[in-house]
Amino acid sequence: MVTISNAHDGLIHDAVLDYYGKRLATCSSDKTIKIFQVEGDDYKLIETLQGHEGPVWQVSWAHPKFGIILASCSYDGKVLIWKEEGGVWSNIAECSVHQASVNSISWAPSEYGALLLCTSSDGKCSVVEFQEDGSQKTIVWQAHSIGVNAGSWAPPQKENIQERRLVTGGCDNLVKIWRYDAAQNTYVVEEALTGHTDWVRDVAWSPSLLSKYYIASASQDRTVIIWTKNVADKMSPWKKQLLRQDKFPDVCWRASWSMSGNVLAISGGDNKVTLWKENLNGQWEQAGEVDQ
Amino acid sequence: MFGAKNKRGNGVRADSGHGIFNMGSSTNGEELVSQRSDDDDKDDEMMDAIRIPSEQDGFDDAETEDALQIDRATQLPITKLPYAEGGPIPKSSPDWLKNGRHLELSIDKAHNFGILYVTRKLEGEEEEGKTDKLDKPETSKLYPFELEPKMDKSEERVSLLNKLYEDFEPLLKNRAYKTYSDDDDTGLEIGVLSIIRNRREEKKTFLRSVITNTIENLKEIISIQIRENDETTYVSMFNYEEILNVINLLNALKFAKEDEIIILLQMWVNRASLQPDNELVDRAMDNENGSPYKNLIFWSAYLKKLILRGYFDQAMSALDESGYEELEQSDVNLFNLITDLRTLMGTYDAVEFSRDSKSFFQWKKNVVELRERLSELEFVNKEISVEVREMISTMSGFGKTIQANCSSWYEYLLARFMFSLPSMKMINGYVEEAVAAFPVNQVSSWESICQELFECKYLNVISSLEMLDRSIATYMGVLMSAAGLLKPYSEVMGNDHESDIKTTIDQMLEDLTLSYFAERELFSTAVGILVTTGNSKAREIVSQMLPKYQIQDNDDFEWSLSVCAKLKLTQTAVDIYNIQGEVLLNQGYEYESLECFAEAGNAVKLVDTVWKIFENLLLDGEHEDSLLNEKIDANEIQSSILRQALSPLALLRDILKYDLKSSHSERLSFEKLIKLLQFKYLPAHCKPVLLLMLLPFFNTASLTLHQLVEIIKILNDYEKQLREEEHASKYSEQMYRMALKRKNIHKSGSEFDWRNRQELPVSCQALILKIRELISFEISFKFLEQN
Repeated sequence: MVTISNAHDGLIHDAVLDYYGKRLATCSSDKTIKIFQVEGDDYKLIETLQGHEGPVWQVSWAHPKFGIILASCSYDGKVLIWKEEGGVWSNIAECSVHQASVNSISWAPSEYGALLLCTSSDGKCSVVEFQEDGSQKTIVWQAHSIGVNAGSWAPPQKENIQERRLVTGGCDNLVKIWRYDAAQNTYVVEEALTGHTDWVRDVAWSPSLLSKYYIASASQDRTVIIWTKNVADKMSPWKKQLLRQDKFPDVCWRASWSMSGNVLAISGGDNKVTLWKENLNGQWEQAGEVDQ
Repeated sequence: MFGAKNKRGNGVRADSGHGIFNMGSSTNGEELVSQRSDDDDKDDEMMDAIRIPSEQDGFDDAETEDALQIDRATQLPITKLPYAEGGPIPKSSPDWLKNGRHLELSIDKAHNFGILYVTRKLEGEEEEGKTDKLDKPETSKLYPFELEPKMDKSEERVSLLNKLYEDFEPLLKNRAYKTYSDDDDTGLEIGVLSIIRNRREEKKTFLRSVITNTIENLKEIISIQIRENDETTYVSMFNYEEILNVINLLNALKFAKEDEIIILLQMWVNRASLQPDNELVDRAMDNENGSPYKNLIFWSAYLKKLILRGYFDQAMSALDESGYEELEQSDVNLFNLITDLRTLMGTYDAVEFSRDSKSFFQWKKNVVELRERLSELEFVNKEISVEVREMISTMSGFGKTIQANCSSWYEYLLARFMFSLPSMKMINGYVEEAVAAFPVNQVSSWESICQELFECKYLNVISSLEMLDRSIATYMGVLMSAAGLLKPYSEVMGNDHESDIKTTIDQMLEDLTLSYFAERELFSTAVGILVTTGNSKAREIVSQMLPKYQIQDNDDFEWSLSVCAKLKLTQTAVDIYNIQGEVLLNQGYEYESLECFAEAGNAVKLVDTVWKIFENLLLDGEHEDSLLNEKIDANEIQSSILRQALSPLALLRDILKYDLKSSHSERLSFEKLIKLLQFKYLPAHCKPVLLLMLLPFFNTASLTLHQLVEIIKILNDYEKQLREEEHASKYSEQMYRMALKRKNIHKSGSEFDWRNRQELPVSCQALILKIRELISFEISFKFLEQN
């Protein structure tokens, strides 16, 4: 098995494969973004993108129907949009609405258009809409006190495509569900879910098409909570369930759902990545641990 | 997985959905046992996991140890990822992963792999100028991994899986496997009996053909992989071999015709363990001492083994070649005994004895009579006679002799079945004796799985097969369900549980399908399974997955669209057209990409793309996409939306195409140019280059007063636009500068090509001014001419 050596001159903060798994984008404290061409086991560096003035925290590929487009966010408070055309990469847009580090970015389901959710240490979230003519429309709102660490879009509801929702996790230990209000042209809070006792480091809304919404929130308090809600019953409350009853050995940093939304991966500060799956009784099966 | 259900009573799937990727130094080698646990319950808990070795683990260790290891503390399987340079985490430094430094991963949403890396993010370390310094170069490395490592990535595997799908398709159709054998077991026979029986027989014949095809397909892939001798397929090859051994037994026990049982059991044993081996054959048939019959090993090992394995034809041939006829002169009793033995071998009718116990008993009576006669005979060659006596005793079904001459439980089982009484009613007793007499080799999976098969623990069998190959295990689950083998579970657990079991087979199929979506070569099989089984989520899953299918050629494209048409996935087809439009555009196939956008009804993207092509044509004066040019020139564009979108481009192409020197052309192209400039949707930034194209027409006495007035109107409108629209002004200047910069690249020899002019205005505004001056001059000149 081949490793990719000397990918960056600083710590890597994110590595994301594109829609087809043919390109890998990585970003780092060295302020750069690198694009690798993936051919089987072969990872060939094809481009180094420079433009940020601080560590680059995350990268995110847009849906291919918008072209080969990559977004990146950085400590410098900027979100840059990069595009490849004819093998040439260029910076096609910049969003500078935040006053502090932009911690996460996430493209919305393509059905909504080219919408990018950004969360920032300034306590605000923004959704930038990139239009065909190159112009942008941005909605910014105050989301969490102290800062917002992560955000994730809900899968689109086939029967009501306009009902956009997203989830954010912040330094106020809350997980918040937001709904787009077309009349006010902003996102309004629908729920503020309490359960964590320390910063929420990551939130991930499952892309599952099942009858329930699934959100995973990973926290500095060494727990992961699975939040569920019946899709059909709008009045039903969000139920919370600890992924494991006892605490994880260390901070839980990232939660990531698989393609079909039935497997959850959790990375923790304890040097492990664990995969979880719900059983037929609705319980989350603990995979166990390898002794330290 | 099924075992887990039994244990907890909750139907838990403890499959590859769970596991651990461990990059740490903490899992010591001594904590791992390098073979599978033999505890069934623990087996049921088997869950995939992957561990990245630390740098001290070393590559060699990772390579030489078994790929699958079990963690003693958790009984979870851990797969070491054999990175050539070891893992990133120093073994000697447990504190290394502190201060926020931790392992993260990124999973490819569409495929079966991901990337691992070490990262860190703590507040206070983000300050500018205090960028993380690397402690070790390893921290900047990326570690790709397969989510569910596949042993076999060969083309043959894809071919095998496609063949399996084809064979099983009738059982998958609307999940026929769930009820396939239901009416066979009701006990009620309503209707014409002969028709019912025929139908039942037809079903059995079909199931038999499915399992036989599976066996043949497995044999084929094994033989190909042996022939190719590719070390990357060694593990999968052995897995296929183990699976084949299990399916051979399943076939013999549950799918065989009445008269095939002995032969199929012989095939099972002889495929699983090929005996006698070549070395023994060579030693036994060695002619150095005269004839082979003089070698004691010929009798004591070789001939005995052939008889125990049911190789009677080979045994008779060996006897014929042994030269034992010499004994007629020297040891007539022994000669007669061997001749009788040969006759008994020749009369063993595996087909007849499988179905007719009377004929078997007649044969056995002859054997026993011969055995009885032995005590009265004297022999010269006593050693050989003892061996022959044992062979006759074996053929008489005498348990102790069989045990003394067998080397494994399955060999004993076969011999007992062949010679004691070939009846399925007796087989469990033989199995009990066999495993009591010989240990079951736990290292070979097939032996323990076959035992479960004898015990009718079908769910355990499926679960165990899943460890070897998920696809074949799933198909075997389908086959067992279709054959009604899973029904006894419902009797024990109640009908609700039966439906649970069937649901679990459904779930296995669904999971298998989802895993196939991660492989391009199996994508169509995945769609096939979903659609064939009538999965209620088929449309949703296909609509989500199909746009992820990487289209490589027209066939792929057409296939994707045909799936959309079949499932009425209109929006998915639109998505595919849009994606493919982008892909083709990026590859330079402009016409094809425009067709895609048109088919998708994506007018915005279509028009936007056409204007980009228009811009390039304006700047370069020529266009490279020959197909687009041909289609425009031949007026062959059928789609109305595409025709409409392309009309300004066609007009520009017309203008540029004409030989501007001819007077007719001058007038024609000039009028078209004016029309284009007056087109209300023309982007403002395209206008300066079109205006540049007007320059050569001045001072040629070719412009009428009316035309000059038209140009004035165009300039007035354009100036107003530049004043009112910030973008128009900015982009017009950019476009103008770009046109000047590139003018020497594409200039033609025509005097009507603006690129040939010596002096050009420096900016867009200056160009407008210049044209106004020229118009004034033209009008003044015309005025003077008139007077």
